Amino acid sequence: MKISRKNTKSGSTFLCDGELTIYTVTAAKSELLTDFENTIDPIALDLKQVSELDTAGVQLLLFTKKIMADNNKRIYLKNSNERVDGILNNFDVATQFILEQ
Amino acid sequence: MDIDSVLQTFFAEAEELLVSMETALLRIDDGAKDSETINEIFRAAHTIKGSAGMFGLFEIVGFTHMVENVLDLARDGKLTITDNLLSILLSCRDHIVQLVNNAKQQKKSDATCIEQGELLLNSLRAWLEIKADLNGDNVQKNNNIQKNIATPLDPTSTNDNFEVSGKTQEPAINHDLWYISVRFGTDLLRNGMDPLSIIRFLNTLGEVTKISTMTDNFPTLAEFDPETLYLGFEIILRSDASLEEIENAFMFVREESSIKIIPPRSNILAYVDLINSLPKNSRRLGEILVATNVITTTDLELALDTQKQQAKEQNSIGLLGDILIETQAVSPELINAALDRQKTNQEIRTVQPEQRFIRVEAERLDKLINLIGELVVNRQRVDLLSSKLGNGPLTEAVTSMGNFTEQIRDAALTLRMVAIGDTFLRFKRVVRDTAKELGKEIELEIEGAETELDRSMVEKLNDPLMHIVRNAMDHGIESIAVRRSRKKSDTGVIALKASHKAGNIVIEITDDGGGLDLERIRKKAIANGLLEETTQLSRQELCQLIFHPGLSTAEQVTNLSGRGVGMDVVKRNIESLRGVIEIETELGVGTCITICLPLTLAIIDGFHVAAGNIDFIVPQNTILECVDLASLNHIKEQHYVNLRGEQVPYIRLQELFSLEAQQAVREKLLVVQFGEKRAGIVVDSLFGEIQTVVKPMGPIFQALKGIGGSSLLGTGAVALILDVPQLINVAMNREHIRNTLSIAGMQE
Repeated sequence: MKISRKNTKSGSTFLCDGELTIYTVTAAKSELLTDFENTIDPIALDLKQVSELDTAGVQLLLFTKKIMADNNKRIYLKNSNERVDGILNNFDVATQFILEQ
Repeated sequence: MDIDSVLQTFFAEAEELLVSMETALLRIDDGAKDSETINEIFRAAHTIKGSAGMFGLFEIVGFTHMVENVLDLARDGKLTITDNLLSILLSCRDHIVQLVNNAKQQKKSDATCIEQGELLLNSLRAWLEIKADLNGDNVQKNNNIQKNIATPLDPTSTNDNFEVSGKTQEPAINHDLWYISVRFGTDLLRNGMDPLSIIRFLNTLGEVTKISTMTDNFPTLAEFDPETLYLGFEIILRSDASLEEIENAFMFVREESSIKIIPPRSNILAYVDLINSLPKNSRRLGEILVATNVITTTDLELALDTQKQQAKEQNSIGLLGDILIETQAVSPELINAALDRQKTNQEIRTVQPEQRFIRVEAERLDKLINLIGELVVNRQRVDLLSSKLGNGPLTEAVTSMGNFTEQIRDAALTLRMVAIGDTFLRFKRVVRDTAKELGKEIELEIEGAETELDRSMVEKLNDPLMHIVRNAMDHGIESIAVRRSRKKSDTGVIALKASHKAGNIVIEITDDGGGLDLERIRKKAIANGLLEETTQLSRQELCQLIFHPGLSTAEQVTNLSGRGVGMDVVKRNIESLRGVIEIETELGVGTCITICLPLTLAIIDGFHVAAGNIDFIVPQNTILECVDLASLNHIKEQHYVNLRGEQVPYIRLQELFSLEAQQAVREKLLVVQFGEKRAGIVVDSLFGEIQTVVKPMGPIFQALKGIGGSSLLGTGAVALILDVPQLINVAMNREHIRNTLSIAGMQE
């Protein structure tokens, strides 16, 4: 699991690579949420390179969204793949990561 | 909850189901094409698929699903199970065994396994298509099947693919909306379970039309542990599955989770009607609710537990109905309807005992039996001490305690007992397959399947029995041509028979084949240097030669048997179970192999004797009688006595084990028997019956002939347990050697 953050004027992007599962969520949490104050709204999630996602991963995404929302930051899914989409749909949470204009 | 142990439960259950599936398939082979049998096979496949789905074992799900589809058609009478289809189904069952084993060993299926699976799926598809063609169904349906099963082995395929069965193609009249509210245990993820697989599984039961992932339990950022599960789910499921089936989706997580399943509203009034229409035999409220499917047995048990707990806490019994309402298991109107029924029926009360099984680790049972063994020994010590004290009431109490100890011991031993039937039934398949392979017609007859013996012995019996049965099929039963020339019916018969005889289990494997050619065995043995040309052997001794390593009389070596290895292993295995194996045979008529085994290995009823100041225990079930040696006609040098006209060889323990001779004792003769053989054991004194726990001998003493184990006496002294079969052999051999010597002497 590798998460890199890119800040630009028009917003931050989290690029996730590898599996986002129970085995990696602890590391992923610190990547996503430590220092979240310095992210720039709106925050984009690029999950195209995510090879595996489970409930723990989905929960972390939802929690990240909650923390961001509590701090008036928006977060949205910019890129994903079939597998990620399928799992997000299983929980019917894809709609939570749509950028409202 | 430990995921490993749950998975182990799944594997154990799957194995059992696969066995019952095979048994049922073979019953169909025997002509039982009733719906009950087909249902049994279907249910086995269905349950395996369901549980596998929960563990994300999609390869098993995909494959089993196709099998289930075919079985579903057969169940509805839309497909007849022909011999051909039966063979496919048997192979499918084997393939599932393979898949389950792979999952158990956590290895991926190799290429041959995948190929095999594809082949079987193709054969199954052909059957599904035949059915569709027969019905003149439209092309679309056919396409549907094709499309849906295109990627059944693809683990990433969505669960819609599994909905191939007739159910979804029929108009959805009975579909109902279930409301399911779940809050899982917080440690669920850490324990390796994933709610995702449960949601996916629910999708196989129907369609999750709505799911709300609840995040209201999220803590603050500092407190958030990403490995803890905070999510909850509110699910609406469209499914015509039963409550039990839906509950089963949560089977492995329900202990730590709070799960509310509310059945479709439209059905509740129907349930009320059902309760009112119950026959007038009084049953407890819970049972009524279970019987009408409003709540399931597990719900009831939970509610009853809560009731007990409340009773403890408040010292008053909470009403079962209130509790069920409180936990939202049923709605109040349902309870009321059930209560009305209960009131009108209170006079006649019949509680139907339910048959229930508990799965217990074998190790725990062994521990219990060991402890009971120690208890038995300790009781003897108490017995001894109390008899010394001569206190009447104490002796009485100890005696009654003794009775209970005995009962406990017997009850504990039966815990380990299993019927041999399952083992026997496994051979049906072996016989069926092997007969086809050999081009012979062979029927397997089973008798005494209900005979029980120690579980550990059953396991160890499998291989020897398999070998004997295979031998009988391969070498025993002749080809059809030979059978005709011998005026036998085309179908050869192999019979497996088990029975209890004098504290022993007797298993007989009989075939009506060619029998053993004793002359050829003799020649072969001489050629192999096992026997001198001049040695005279009895029939039984000649037969026993086939147990000698490196002797095979089969002219043609097949892949089944005939390599001359095996029968010696069979004999060793049986002997390690303290059993004996004997052969009766008649050339051209058939062979009967008899295996005689002790009932259990753990605790025995023994007879306490002594020779040369050493305590010995003789297993009671081997003892025929005790007599004063001096009162019998015997010649010391020849070592046999005349017992009512029968010559019985004997051995003197004191001589055998080179013990100190006792002065001026009246020697006693114990006549013992094992199988058909008898011998005498001469001892110095008899003490009486005793219950003992058999402790195996340490490795140093294992080569020691005649001693089967040791045991502690109530006094704390060690007693040696005699291995009667071995002693009898020693006595017989001595007699035999003497006979040959005397014959040789006469010849000189």
